[in-house]
Amino acid sequence: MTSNTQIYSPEETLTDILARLPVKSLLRFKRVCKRWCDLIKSVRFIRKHCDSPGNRTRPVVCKFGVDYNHEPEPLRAFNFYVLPEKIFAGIVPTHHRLYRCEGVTDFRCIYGPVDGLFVLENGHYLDNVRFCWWNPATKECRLMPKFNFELDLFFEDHSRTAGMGLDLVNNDYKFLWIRVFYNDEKREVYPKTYVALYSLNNDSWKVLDEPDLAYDCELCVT
Amino acid sequence: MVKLKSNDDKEFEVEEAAVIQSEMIKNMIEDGCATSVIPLPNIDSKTLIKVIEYLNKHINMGKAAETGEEDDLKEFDEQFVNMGWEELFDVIMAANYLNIHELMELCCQSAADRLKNKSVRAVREMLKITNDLTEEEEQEIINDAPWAFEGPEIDDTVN
Repeated sequence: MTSNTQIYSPEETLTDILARLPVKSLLRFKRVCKRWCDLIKSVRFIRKHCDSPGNRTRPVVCKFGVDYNHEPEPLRAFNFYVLPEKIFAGIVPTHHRLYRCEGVTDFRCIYGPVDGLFVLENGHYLDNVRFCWWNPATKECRLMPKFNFELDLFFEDHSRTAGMGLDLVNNDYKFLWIRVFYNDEKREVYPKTYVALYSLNNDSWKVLDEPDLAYDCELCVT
Repeated sequence: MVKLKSNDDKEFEVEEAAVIQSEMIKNMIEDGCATSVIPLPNIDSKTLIKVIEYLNKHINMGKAAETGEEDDLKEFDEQFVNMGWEELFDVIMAANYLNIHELMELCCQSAADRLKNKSVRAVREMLKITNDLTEEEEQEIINDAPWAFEGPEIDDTVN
């Protein structure tokens, strides 16, 4: 008898079981064997784990700030707070600090989260910006390869926007980076929007020449 | 009564009220495809007996709540999942194939609970897994998250 019922494989049985485990167990079980390690690291599994009812997370707020009164020099830190499950209008919700990271020197911005993943941005200058993926649950950081737009000598930093998301078609986490430069010679904004897209699957950047975005508009990336 | 046939050619009669907890069989009955015997080519008789035992016990879930038999059902579930790993995997595969949501939940959660605090060595031994990672690869995984390998809860026993 032919049947299409063999779709559910032992691999999926394992996925269904492991998706119910806490992060600490998963990080340990990456050591069980290659198959388990590959499974736990896969994008598909990460999504499933996030969707698992027991792992439904509560809202988290990330706050980044600089304390200029701090001596001898300003203290830069970011804090994560978890909010209660129910939030009522007009009442400031109680929040518990989950995590505090102090003394981040040239940390610039944090993006996300998508499926519990954040992207951190470092560097203030024109050409040494670096991004890295950060998973607070697993305490893992993964640096993205260095990338720079082709800059002209007279360029100054003008504005930048970035955003992350999951590409559902390719099951790939992507990060979009948009920059506009200032033409220091002519004292005006350089009329071009530079866009690059990073793909986690390929671990590489790609310059997007299209679309031809207006350079002077405010962009919002989701 | 509905007749189910395992892949080793054994037939079992089950009450319709019990068997329709399986979405798959419920759909077959509704579509009029379940007139004689329903063959289940993925399930052996040993596993099917376990599944039927579960279906018969859970036949009137709603009523159990009313009559205070909930505790009884809980106790049954606890006893039910008390089986070997191979058997448990077989029941999970069968529950998925037959689309019995509650049974799937019960077995997967039980498997996860049993694994949760186990050491790497214990998991390998319990599930008869041969380690095929190199020493360097293993060390790298430990270095990535040393905290995941420490803690009073980690249990090295095999059961």
